[in-house]
Amino acid sequence: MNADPVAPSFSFEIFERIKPDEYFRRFIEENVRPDGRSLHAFRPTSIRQGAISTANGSAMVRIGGTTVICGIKAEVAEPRIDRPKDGYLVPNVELAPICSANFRPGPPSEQAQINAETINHVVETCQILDLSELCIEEGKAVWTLYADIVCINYDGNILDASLLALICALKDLSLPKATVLPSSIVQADSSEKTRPLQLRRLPVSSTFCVFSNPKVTLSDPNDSEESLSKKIVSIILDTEGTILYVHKSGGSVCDPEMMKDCFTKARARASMLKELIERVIV
Amino acid sequence: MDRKRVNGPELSVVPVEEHTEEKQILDSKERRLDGRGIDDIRPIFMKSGLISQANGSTYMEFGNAKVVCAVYGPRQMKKPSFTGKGVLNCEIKFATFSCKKRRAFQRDAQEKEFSQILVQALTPAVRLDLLPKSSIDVYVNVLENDGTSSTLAAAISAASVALADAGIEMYDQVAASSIAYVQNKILMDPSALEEESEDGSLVVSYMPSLNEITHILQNGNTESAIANKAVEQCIDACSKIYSVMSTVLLQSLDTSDK
Amino acid sequence: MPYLSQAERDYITEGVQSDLRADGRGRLDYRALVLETGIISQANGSARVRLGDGTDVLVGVKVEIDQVEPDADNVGKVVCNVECSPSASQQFEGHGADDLNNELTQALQRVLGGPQCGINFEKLCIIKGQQCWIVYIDAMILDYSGNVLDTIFMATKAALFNTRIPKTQIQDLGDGEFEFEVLDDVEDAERLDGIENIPIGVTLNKIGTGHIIDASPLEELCTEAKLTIAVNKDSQICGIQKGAEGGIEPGLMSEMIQTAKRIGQSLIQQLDQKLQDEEQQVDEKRLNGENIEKLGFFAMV
Repeated sequence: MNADPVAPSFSFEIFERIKPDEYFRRFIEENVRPDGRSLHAFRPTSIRQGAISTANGSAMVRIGGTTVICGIKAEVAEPRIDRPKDGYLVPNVELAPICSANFRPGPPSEQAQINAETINHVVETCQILDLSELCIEEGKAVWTLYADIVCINYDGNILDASLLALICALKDLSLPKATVLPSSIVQADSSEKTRPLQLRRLPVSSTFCVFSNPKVTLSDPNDSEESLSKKIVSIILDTEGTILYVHKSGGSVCDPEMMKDCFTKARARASMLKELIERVIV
Repeated sequence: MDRKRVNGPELSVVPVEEHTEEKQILDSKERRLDGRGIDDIRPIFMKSGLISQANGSTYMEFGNAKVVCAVYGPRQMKKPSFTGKGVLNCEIKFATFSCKKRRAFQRDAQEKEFSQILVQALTPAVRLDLLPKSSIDVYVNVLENDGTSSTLAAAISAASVALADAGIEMYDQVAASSIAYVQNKILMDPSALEEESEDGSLVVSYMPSLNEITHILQNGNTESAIANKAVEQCIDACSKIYSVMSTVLLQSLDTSDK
Repeated sequence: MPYLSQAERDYITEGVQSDLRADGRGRLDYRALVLETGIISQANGSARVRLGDGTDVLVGVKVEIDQVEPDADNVGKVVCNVECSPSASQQFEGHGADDLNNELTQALQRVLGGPQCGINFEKLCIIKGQQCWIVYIDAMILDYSGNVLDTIFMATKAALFNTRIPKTQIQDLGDGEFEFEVLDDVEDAERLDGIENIPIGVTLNKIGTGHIIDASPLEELCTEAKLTIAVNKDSQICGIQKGAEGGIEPGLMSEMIQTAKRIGQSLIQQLDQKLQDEEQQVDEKRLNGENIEKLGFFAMV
């Protein structure tokens, strides 16, 4: 806890580079974050739907600097034998070198895999949508939705942005009317399009970053804050406030007060996003 | 079975289209499907500096196409070997949802070839001799494809602006344009629909101040006179695109001053 | 990656400018060419081309029957693949040749993969909507000594000239149902339709202020820019591709295209003539029951 003597003409950029923890702590002591936000503020969020015309459904989400685009392509496949009416939703998250210097080319990194699995898990288990709405002909053909989430600019908190982009892209999804011909070939009629998917719930994610020294919880961490602390808490609620999924990364303890605080903030965020989605989505 | 990704069903196919009508590329007054004349290129929207994490970046939109380019560098090479000059690495990736038919996650042969073409088109313009032992990484992501040869041309132009935005010294900007040969006519800047009925295509990348062609790629049969005319038209279009690129870079200086 | 000293570079550049290259050739002279077809008995067609005493390319053509593409159900297909044998050069060990393989494959596929190559693809279709012939062209670079792309094109044209596709007999079972049989008789096999239209490639390398044909490896290292132009017998341009990491001034490029056209025309004429002659000789020998001796792989020329 020693304050190092600082020369008067010391550049703050160099200080940030060589002593990031100390730099960060000095801001927190004044109850503000290095990017100027208050400790519990989420960054400005914007949604743009239907940007990609080659995709069956798409949405672009910006949370501060983090920019992700979710594009959904639909193809036809045979359904599972034990679920002859259910289609498939296959989400994937791509963190390519284009979005940050920390990512290298090659197969998906651990972070990308974790995010994809989390989203997949939430969609599968939390009754977000009814996969039987993707049925073309029971037992023969169902729609497979490949929802690929591409990050264009990475500035922390990829989970919140990815989930929001997926939800908005699903709401934007339109599929052509399809019929199975006697020769077992599936024919689609692009002039007749439907919006088959009704989302039963809208899951919304809020991510928090926990620091032990100084003892503080920050909402919506950006890239530099994420790199200072590995302790992340993600809470996924639906827009009515029901808890769908809670994740706290290991390696530290979190007292119940702090968790309760996170839940309250997550609820506030969920209702704010509910408003935003209703405003933006047709 | 890709173990690092969420997997779908083993096999999925694209349904066959019911109505496949032959669309007329050119109407009786020689106007194209979107109202352009044969020699017109689509209006371009370009903005630099949108990717905060990168040293330089560009976002480009023309027609329905959307291309993003980020430049990281100069930075230390992964495998440091002695080189007197810097190394330019380019990688282009079409997003899975960017084309009519879904593309794979892994880079396919076409993307690898396009990446090599990007390197060949941009290297003559970059002062790599000033950056020994460094590498400059250029990543292009195509979010929506509206004409593959036009997208390749756009990737070259966007990468050139991004390199300048990153502050890397260059001899000149590289502008690129494309044409399609359709029924003995030369169509500038073809869209995806026009590409489906093309007999051949041409992509030319050009440095206007130095008057040098940095890349040319043609496929399809043409008489050499038509090929020459097409190259000249491309060079003209490159000069127009060059002025758009210069404007974009000057604008970015204005905003950064503020 | 081999390096070149400044002295060697100057030597080659000034040689080019004086129209006298390191091996005594003029700027637009090819090295001696040795070509032979029909050397792989298991392939439907094959050819081997050796340029000078360096570049050695072997092309094999196999035809197979497969389903038609859903959006092109009345035509066959050509699939090209080029591979550099790791024994050809030290830089091809392991994955070193991957980039070059991909570049050459794409270049070949671009010129030969569609109707622009002149082959009659409709004749390759056996039953419309169902089965067609797919022509697999596999090129292997056995020895690398510069100018591989031109050599691959020539060897491919020769191999396709040598290719024979078995005849098929189609039976109409009525109701839109067809059945076909492939006739085993070698004598009945047919030549590909339209091979006289197949283009060949001419690569020009810009060195200093001049340009040369058929570069040797040292000359390729000095190359600022490379232009490969595919021409066919009707003097049409079937493809243009630039390589190497330098720029070309537009006026010089038009000049290079004209040069390539001229040289390409003469090359095609000579190649076609030689192929006809060789085939004639082989047919005569076969008629007389004489033994046909092939130079094959072990002869050093």
